[in-house]
Amino acid sequence: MKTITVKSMSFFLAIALIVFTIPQSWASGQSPVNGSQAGDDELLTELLWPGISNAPVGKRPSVGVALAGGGARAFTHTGFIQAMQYASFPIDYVAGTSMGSIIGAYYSAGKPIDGLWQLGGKLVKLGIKKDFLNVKLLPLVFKNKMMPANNIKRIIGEMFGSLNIEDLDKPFACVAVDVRTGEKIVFRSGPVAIAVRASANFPGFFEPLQYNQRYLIDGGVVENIPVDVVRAMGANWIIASVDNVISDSMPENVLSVLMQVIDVRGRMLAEESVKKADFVVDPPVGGISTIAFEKSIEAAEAGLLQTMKDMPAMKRAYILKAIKMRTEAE
Amino acid sequence: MKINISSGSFKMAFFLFLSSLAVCPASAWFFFQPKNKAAESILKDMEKAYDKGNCLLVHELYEKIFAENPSAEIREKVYNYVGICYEKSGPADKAISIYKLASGLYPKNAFFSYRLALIYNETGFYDKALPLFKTAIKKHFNEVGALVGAARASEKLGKLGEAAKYYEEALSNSEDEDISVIKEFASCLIKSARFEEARAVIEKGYAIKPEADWPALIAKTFAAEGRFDDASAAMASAIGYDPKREYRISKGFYDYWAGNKEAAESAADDLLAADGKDFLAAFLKGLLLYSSDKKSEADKYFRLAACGGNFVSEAARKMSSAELPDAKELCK
Repeated sequence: MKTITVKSMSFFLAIALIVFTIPQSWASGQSPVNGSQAGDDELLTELLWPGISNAPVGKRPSVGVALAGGGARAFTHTGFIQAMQYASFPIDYVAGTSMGSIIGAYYSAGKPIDGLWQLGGKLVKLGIKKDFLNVKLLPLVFKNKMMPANNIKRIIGEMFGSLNIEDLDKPFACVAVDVRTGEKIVFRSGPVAIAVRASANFPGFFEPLQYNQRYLIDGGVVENIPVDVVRAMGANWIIASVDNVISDSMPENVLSVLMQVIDVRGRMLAEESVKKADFVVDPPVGGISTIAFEKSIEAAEAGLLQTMKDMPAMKRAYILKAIKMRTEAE
Repeated sequence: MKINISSGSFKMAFFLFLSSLAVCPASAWFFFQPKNKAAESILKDMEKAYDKGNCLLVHELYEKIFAENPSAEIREKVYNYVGICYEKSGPADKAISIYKLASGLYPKNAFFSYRLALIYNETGFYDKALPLFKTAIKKHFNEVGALVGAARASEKLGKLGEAAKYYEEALSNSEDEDISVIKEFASCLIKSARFEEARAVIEKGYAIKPEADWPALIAKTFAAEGRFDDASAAMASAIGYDPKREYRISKGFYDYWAGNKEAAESAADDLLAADGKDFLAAFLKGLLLYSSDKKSEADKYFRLAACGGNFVSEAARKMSSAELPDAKELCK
C-alpha cells in the first residue's frame, strides 16, 4: 500500500515538473509569441485594472455578488470576500440566501474580515449546531410540533442587534419564502436580524418565523443563489459565489437525509441561477456537510484559494465588460 | 521473584549460552562492534565524491555501503548525501523516497523534512510543503530558509497574512539582507492590498541596493490606490534606471488614467516608432484617440492590437467600432 502511494505521488510530481516547465502562454491557450507580445495579456490586465476598479459606479458597471446558501459550506464566501478585498475588486451590491445571507449581512455591515474568519468558530461555540442536533424525530412526530431555533435566534441577535438593512454600508438583500403562499420574499429593508434569520430558517424542523403576517422559512427552497435578486437591486455584472455541491458524506440520520434532499433541490435551482451570473466561483467543498460548522475555516480556505485562482480570469471578464464604459467616461 | 543460581536449569542455560558463542560465525559479532570500519571508509569516499560534485560515484557507493550493514549514524549521513544527489541530478521522486524514509527513521533530524518541503514547494505541492517547513521552524533547522519556504507555500495557498508574517520573521532573523526575499515580501504585501506597509519594505530594499525594480513596485502600489500621478512619477524613476518597454508602457497607461494624455500619447508613439507591432502601445494609442472622440482613427490602432495576445486582442475587439475579422484573416 505504501509503495503504491509513493509511486502515485512520484507520478504526480513528474507531471507537475512537466507542467511547471511549460511556458505560461501555452497554458493559457495563447499561441507562443515573440518580441513585444510575450506577457502582454498579464501586463494589460495589470494596467487596465486600477483605472477601472478605482472608478466610481457610473464610470464602470456596478458589481453585485450573490452568496449561495449551504450551511457550513457557505463559509466559502468568507474566503471569496477576502480574495475580492485582496484584489481590490469592487463590490457594490450584496445578496445572500440562508447562511450566505448571514455572511453577506455581516460583510455589508462593514465589520472586519477577520471577524468573518472567526465567525464559524464562534457559531460552534455559541451552539448553532445544538439546534440541529437537538432535533429528535419522535417529539416531532408525536407532539406534532416544530422546534424553536433558539440558539440561532440568540446568535443572530448578538451579531446584528437592532441594525436595519437600510443602515448597512453596502446595499444588501436576502431571500426567504412564505411557507403558506410559496412566495419568494426579498428583504431589502427592515431589521437585519429578522431578515437573515428568516433566510436561514431551516425548513421542516424549525418553526417558521412569523413576521408581518408572513410565515417565513429558508430562501434556499426557492432561490439558493440569489442572482436575480442582486440583478434587481441594480447590479450590472454579477459574481455568484457558490458551494454548489452535494455533500459526498453518507447521510447518517433523518435530519441529514432531509438536508441532503434540500441540497439536491438547491443544486437543481442553482443550475439555472449560475447560467444568469456573469462569473461563478465554485470551490470544491463537497466533503463538508451542511452542519459541519467546525469545518468553517476549511470551507473559507477553499473559497479563498479558488477565488484567487479564478481572479485573473474574473478581472479580465470584468475589464471586457467595463472597458468601453470607462473609456467613454474619460 | 528470586533466581536461584545454584538451580540446575540456570546452570544448563548458562552452559548453552557459552556453547552458542563458541559456534557463532564471525559475522554475527558485527552488531557488537563499536564501529563499522568498512562502512566508515566508504562513507569517507562518499563525502569526498559529494564535495567534488561527483554524484555518479555517490550513487555507486550508496549501493556498496549498505552491503556493509552500516550503523544508524552512518546511514543518516548516507541518506543526506544521496538525497541531495538525487535532487541535483534526478530523478526527484527518488530524492522524495529517500527523504520520506529518512525523516521516518530520524524524526529528530529536520534536514530531511526540510529538503522534502523544498521539493514539494518547487513542484507545486504547497499544502504538503507548509507543515514540513513549520516542523523545521519548530526545530530551528535552517530557520531562515524554512521561514522563507513557509512564506512561499503560504502565499501560494492564498494565506497572504500568514505569508507576510513568515517573510517578516525570515528577514528579521537573517544576517544577510537578501534582496530577492525583500522583493517577495513587498510583492506579497501588494497582493494583500497592504500598500503602505509595502512601500516601507520597498524603501528599505531600495536603500540596500538602488535599482529599477523598487520604484516600479512603488508605482504599482500607487496605481492600485488610484494615485496615478504618483504612479507615473515612480515609474519615471524606474525608467531612469532601466528604460525597458514594460516600464515605458506602464508609465504611458498611468499617464492615461491620470489624465496626462500628452505624456501617454508620447509613450505610445515612441514605442510604436521602435516597434510598429507593439500591440500594447497600439491599444493605448487607440484608447487615447477613442477618448478624444476620434473613433475611426482609434479603430486603426485597435485593429493592430487585435493581433496581440488573447486578452489584448479581445479588449481591442471590444473597443473597435467595426466588426473585426478573425485573427488569421486580420493578422496576415
